[in-house]
Amino acid sequence: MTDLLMAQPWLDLCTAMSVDQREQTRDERREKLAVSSTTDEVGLIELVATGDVRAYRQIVDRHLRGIHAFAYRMLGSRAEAEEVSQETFLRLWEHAGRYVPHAKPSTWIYRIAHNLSIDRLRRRREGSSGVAPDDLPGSERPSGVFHERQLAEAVQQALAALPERQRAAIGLVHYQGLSNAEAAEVLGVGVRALESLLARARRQLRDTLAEHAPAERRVS
Amino acid sequence: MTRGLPLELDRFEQLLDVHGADLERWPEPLRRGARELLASSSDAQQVWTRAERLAALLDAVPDVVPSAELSARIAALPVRRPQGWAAWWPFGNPVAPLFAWGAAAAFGLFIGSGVLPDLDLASDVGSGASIAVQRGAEDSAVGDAASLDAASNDSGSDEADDWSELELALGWGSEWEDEP
Repeated sequence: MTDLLMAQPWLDLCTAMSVDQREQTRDERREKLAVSSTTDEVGLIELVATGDVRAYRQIVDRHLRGIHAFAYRMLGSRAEAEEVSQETFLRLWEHAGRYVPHAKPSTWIYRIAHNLSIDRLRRRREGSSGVAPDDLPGSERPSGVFHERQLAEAVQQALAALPERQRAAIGLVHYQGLSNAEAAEVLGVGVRALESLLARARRQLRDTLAEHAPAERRVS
Repeated sequence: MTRGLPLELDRFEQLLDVHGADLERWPEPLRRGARELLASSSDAQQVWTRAERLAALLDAVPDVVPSAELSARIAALPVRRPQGWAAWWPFGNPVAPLFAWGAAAAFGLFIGSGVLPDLDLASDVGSGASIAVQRGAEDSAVGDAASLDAASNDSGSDEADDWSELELALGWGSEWEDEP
C-alpha cells in the first residue's frame, strides 16, 4: 500500500528496514502499557508500602526499562540515567505509602523520574554538574550500519536541543507510549498544555531533521 | 459504519503534530475523520507522509537497556535500605530472637513436665499410698499384693510420710532409705 521512493540510499536502508520494525515496536509499546495499566499495580504499590519485597521487584521488572530509557532521553547520559533510575525506585520503596490511587502507578513512577531528571538538568545549568552527554548507545541491530548510527546521532542531538518540557513530552508519549492524559499528569500540566508541547516539539524536530528526511514519499 | 468528525486539511495537520502519525493512537472520532480525509485527499496524504517520516526518524534512535548490574542493584535496594522500624533498629529482625526465646521456653517446659511425675496433692492419705506404690514399683518389677496392702495400712505412721513428694520424685527417697 505504501510506495517508498527514497532519494538517499542510506536513508532508504534505514527507513525501509524500520517500517515493519517500527510497527512491531509500537505494538510492543502498546502491549507493555496494557500490562502495566492493569489494576493489580495499585495492589502491588500497597504491598510495597507494607514492605513486601516481592511486590517491589515485580514493579521494578515492569518499569525499570522504561524509566531508564526516559531518564536517558531526558539527560543524554547513561551514568546519570542509572542514578535517576536507582533513585526513582528507592523513592518508590521508601515512600510507597504516600501513593494516592487517583493516579496510575506507572504515571506516579514516571513523575518521580521526571522530577529527578529536571533537578539534575537544573543543577547542570547552575554549573554544579558539568556532565556531558554520552555517545549514543550501541544499536541492537547488526553493527556496521554506519549511516544508521549517524542518523540516530542526528536525532539524538535534535531531541537534546528541545526545551526540557517538550523533550519530556516526546519521551513520554512517543517513546514510552503513555497517553496524552497520562503524560500530562506526569508533567503536572493540563492535557491541552501537553498537546501544545507535543505539537511544538514535533514541529521543531521536523525542521531540525529536514535535511535527513527522504526527498519524496507517496502514499497510494 | 458511523462517520467520523469531518476534518479540514489545516486541522488535520495540527492534529498530526499533536497525536503523531500513528492513527491508532488518535481519539476514536478524530481517527475516523482522519481516515476519511486520507482516503479522499492527496494533500492530506502528503502531510500524513511528512508526519510518518518524522516518526520513522525518531524511531531510528536505539533503545537504551539497563545493565544487569543496575537491575541487580535496584532489586537489592530493600536489603540495603530497609523500611519502617528496620531502618532505625540496628540488630536485625526482632521477630527471629522472639521465636528463639519462645522455642527455648517451650522446650524447657516440655523437659520439665517430662521429669516431674504426676502429682496428686488432693489427699494426704492417698498420697502416702501412691508413693508407696511408686516406691514398690521401683524396688521390684513384680508387684506384691500383700506388700501393697501393708503399705496402705501403714500409711501415716511410716517414715515415708515425712518425705516430700518432690524428694521422692527426684530419687532422694530411696537413697535415704538405704542409709543404715
